[in-house]
Amino acid sequence: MRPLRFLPLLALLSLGGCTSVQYVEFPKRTAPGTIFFTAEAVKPPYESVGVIQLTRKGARVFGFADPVGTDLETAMKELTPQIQTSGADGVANVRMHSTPITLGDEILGAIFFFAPIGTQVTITGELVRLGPPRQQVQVVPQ
Amino acid sequence: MKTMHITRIPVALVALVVASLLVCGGCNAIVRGGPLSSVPHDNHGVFLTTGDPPAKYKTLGFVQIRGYGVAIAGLTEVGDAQLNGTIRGTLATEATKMGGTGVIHIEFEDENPQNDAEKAQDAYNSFRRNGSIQTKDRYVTVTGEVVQFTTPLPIQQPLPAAVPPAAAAPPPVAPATPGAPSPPQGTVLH
Repeated sequence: MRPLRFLPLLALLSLGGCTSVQYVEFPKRTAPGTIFFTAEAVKPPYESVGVIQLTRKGARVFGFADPVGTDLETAMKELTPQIQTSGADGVANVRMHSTPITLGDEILGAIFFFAPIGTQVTITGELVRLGPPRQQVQVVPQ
Repeated sequence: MKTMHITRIPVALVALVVASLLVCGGCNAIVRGGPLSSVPHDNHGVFLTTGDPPAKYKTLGFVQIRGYGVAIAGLTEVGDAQLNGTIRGTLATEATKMGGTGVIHIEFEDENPQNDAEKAQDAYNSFRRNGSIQTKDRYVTVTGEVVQFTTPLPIQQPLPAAVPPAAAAPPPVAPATPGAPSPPQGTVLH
């Protein structure tokens, strides 16, 4: 009879499934001055401003609460000021990775609430400025 | 009563963890590297891009580089675990050795960057009384496709060289002699 005690928990976990889905919408360039994200290359001409990576670490508490915000959308929002200060118009060839949390993980996290689940999100990409590259004017000495 | 006492400890612990996470303003670790190649290209060095190249090419091979470094006391880093040196230095050098003129589809990852909170903690543990210098292994992985271009890349047209202000000043105009025709406005005197 003892193993049957865990039967409801197993049933709950099996209902949870094994798939974790995260959805984030990339902001498009609607007007000059707006920041864009794209997973593809941009059409030339463009100027490369640099490469950038943002890593955000946190924890899932009680299985569902994410106080730090380690989801893709929060990470993208955190990256936006960095893009603006770098003088870029957006990020091309964006790659994203975040710790997948399934419903089963959330249920287990709620049961074992005293052990938060470590989470992390990483975004990488190339900062680009649209338009022809700026050139440095060479001064010819006399 | 005993059970209540036991459950109170984990709740306090969780509350502490949650509070520390909420006040953790430095949870972001942002790593920046220098610019790669722009299009049109300035025709200097190996063409580096995270995307597609603007010319036809043949693939020579693929390369992966893992830079290793050590972060010391959360204050400084030694070694090659920087994006800049790994992409623009080692990756470009290896591509040249393979006979390539460009590296495309570059992907990179700083595997374990330290955020401000972690750096502060390492610095505190290193310099507190009876503490020891904290070190942390750092790794940067970069992969790319080494190519040789078969058609020329669009090259950036150089701007005309600017003349220093002193040289750009117009020459002193000689006093006009009576009867001599005055030059038309806007022409350059030689």
